[in-house]
Amino acid sequence: MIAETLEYFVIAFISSAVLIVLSKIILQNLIRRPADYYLAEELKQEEMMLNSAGLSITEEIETNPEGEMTSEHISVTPRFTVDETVDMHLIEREKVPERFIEESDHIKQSVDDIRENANAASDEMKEIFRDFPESPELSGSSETPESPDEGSDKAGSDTDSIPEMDELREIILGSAQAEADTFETDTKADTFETDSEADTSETRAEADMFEAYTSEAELKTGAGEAESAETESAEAGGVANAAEAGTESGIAKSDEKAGKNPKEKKDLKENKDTKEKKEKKDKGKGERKRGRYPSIKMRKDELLAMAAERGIDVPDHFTKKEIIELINANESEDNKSRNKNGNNRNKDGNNRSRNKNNSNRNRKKKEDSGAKNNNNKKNTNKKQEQKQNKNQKQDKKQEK
Amino acid sequence: MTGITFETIKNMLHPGLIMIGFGVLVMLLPRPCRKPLGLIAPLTATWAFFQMSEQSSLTYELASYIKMEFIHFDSLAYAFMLAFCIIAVLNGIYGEGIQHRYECGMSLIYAGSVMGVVLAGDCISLIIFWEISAFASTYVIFAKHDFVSARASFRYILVHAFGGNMLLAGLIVYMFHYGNQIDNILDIYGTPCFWLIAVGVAVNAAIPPLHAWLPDAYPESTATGTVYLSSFTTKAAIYLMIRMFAGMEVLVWMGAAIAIYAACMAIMENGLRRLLAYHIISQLGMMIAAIGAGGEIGVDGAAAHAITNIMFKGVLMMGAGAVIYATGRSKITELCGMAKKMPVTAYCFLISSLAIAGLPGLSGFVSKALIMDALNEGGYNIFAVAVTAGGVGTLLSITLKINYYVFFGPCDESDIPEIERQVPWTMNFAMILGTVITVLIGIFPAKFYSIMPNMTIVHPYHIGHVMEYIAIFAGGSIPFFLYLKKMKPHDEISLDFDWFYRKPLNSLVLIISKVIYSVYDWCDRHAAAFAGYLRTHFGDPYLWTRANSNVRIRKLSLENENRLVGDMISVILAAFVILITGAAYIAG
Repeated sequence: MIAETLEYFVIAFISSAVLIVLSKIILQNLIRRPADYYLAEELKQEEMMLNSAGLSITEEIETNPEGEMTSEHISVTPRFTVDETVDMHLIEREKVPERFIEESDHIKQSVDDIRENANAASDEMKEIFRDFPESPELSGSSETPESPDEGSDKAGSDTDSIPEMDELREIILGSAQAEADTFETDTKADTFETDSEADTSETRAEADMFEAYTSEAELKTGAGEAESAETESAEAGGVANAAEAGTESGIAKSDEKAGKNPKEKKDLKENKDTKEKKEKKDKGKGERKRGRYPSIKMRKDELLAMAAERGIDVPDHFTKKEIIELINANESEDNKSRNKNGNNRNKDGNNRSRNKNNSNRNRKKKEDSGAKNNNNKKNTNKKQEQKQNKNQKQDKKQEK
Repeated sequence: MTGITFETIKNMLHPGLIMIGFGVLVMLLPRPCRKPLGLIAPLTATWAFFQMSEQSSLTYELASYIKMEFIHFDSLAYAFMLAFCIIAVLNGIYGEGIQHRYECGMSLIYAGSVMGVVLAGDCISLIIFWEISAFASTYVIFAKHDFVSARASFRYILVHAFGGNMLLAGLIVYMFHYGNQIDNILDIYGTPCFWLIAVGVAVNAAIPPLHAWLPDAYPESTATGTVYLSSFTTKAAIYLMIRMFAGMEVLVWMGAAIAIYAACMAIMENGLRRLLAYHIISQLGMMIAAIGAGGEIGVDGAAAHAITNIMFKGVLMMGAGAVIYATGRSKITELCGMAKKMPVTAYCFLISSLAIAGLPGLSGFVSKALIMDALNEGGYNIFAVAVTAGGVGTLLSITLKINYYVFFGPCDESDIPEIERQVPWTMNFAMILGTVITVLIGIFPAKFYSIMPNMTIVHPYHIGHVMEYIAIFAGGSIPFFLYLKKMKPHDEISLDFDWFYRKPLNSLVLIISKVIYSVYDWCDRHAAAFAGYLRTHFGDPYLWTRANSNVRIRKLSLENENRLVGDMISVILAAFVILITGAAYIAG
């Protein structure tokens, strides 16, 4: 019995010692980890998931100095309120509506703060949405010219930064030009006018569709350029007619001056148009790529170049995020100083510039209305003649 | 006539369903009803249990050839049901003052479903109660409502969904080939159905490497929740293993390995309840070894140790829960000298920890005697030594480590944690009752053995056996005090098999979800643009030709016709779509 007891004693002693060595010395070094080994990562994941819940593109959205949430490609715009508790926002990526975000109360509060900081009243957010493609600088810092002649250069440079707007305008103008040319050649060749008439009516519809966009762009472009003159005439009323008249008269005039064949002229003009389009597109792309505002998506050297342009010294060890913060801080300081200097960018800055836009537009319309009325009269006379011709031809056909 | 009717009703009483019914009531009725119902439920179930006999029967005929047998009452079910009813009553008392309504309701449903598993006489009712218990226990883990418990309950339900589905698949195949009755399945060893059932049961029995859910989830529940969890799930799995796998030799060495492995992990642990959770696994290893040894004594040994384990592990968990409830601290490094502030808890914990280590005179000694006899009789002497070593690990980590560093060790007065909340008397009362039962089982082993399935009688209190255990206590304790500095716990965690699904698998799932989300996001973005494009272009077909060569097209062919090119294109497109659709329809 004693031997058995001793045996068990030894077994217990050895196994106890082995277990202690095994667990406290060997396994300790292999599988021991800090107390928050799992927890830290789980919390990190949780945070990541919460941040990206419902919005995977949070990282791309930044706040510009005006306080609007925006980036190079994405815009977040307040759309409408449900029961004053939930705001719906539309997210657009390169102007393509992407998704709606529902904004609950506590988030709404913070967005309201942003709005206050941006000096934009909530009831004007709809306008801001429409103005968005013009880039925040247009609505804010850049001054709308007092007269079209004065501001043509400035405004022209500003519109260059809106490739989408340019594209739209080009499309409309190109279309209108093409239609007018077709009409011209058709009438000259004495083909069927009915077709061209139908086309022009369509052109009118198209032009109506995009009038809202072009009206904004054209204002900035000024009256100097031939294209914008055409668009203005289109805006004044009888859009397609005006476009026809404008193009016709323009071509006729230039033909008279140069004494060239109208077909050659047309080709030359087309080439010129395409070249201009390309240049503008490239410029737009460049602008977009370079970015008016610093973005986390940009390369570090681009950001550094941007900072250098603005006269900001950036230490080498700064990360992209820090550089962006630095540039933004600098911009906001600039804005503040501008406000102090009696600039229009005070509390109603956006408002005033917008009102100015409107007043300029009205003034422009008034100024142009006389010339346009004359044009319209000419157009109507021409049309009447054309119609008479058509009727005569149709009668002849019927007789045949 | 009246007597016959009463007899019929009595035979249809199902303690599990009673518990589930009360659980639902607790959740539906107003909050003040929770306290009385939380206690009435287990008492009623216990009363129903004592009304049961071998004639008890509750069946439901699904079809002419499928019958669900909710009550199959035999001696094995009796032993487990007795233990479950007692611990349910103790838990009811323990949680009376601290449980929330839903937690209480779900705990009752959980306990009732496990009772349903024990009483189930066929595979269908077994799997139904099995799944109910999995979901109810998930809520019991989540009942703490914090970040860690939420994550732990999520992992728990994932693991148990896997185990439950394995068992379901295995049982379906088993039913198809061999019928609906729950029997020993060693005859079909090696078949897919056997392995499916084995994996399903192994998950709940916490057999490594499928054990990691237990120390991961149990410590994260509430004080009462952990006591419930430690008493039911694993013991139900042991019950099923006794029914289906008794005599499977491979389980002997598996059990011995589990006992040592879990003891090692427990020695390293710093969390009070996490350490105890590892000891549940260690004790399960001993039970599994006894099941593997098989025979009447093996089955009785496993059942006896399961029952005693329910009692003393219940008290240990209650003690740990009381300390955490009172101090708000769960780590051994944050606790010391608690015996001075919580003497009832400390002494109940001490007695139960001595019982789990197998001190003569307590319940662990009695049940371990059966296991050791089963192993020795089966000729598994080496495994018996391994199981003894596992017992020494229990002695080191619970009896010595926790008692020394948390309750009775040297500690400055200033280091003793403040009691933030007084422990309700009901908690102390439940702990005392559990301890008394543990002691009573140790004092009256013959009575205890008589309720075992095969009523195997051994005589644990012969001098040789007593001396063996005293020698084990002495031999095991000396290295502890020699390595006292080394034994001091550190505020760290030890990696276990859960690392595989918490790190690499987690990363894999994240990568897959990111890829899926990226694809979805791309489709989402482009679908809107594409739909817009189609809308505008079908709405105004003239747009198709606007961009480049519409003028030429018109000049070439269609200028003489009084219609738009766009109309033509839309007609052609429509015709093309109709043709393709028609062709596909004909081909399909």
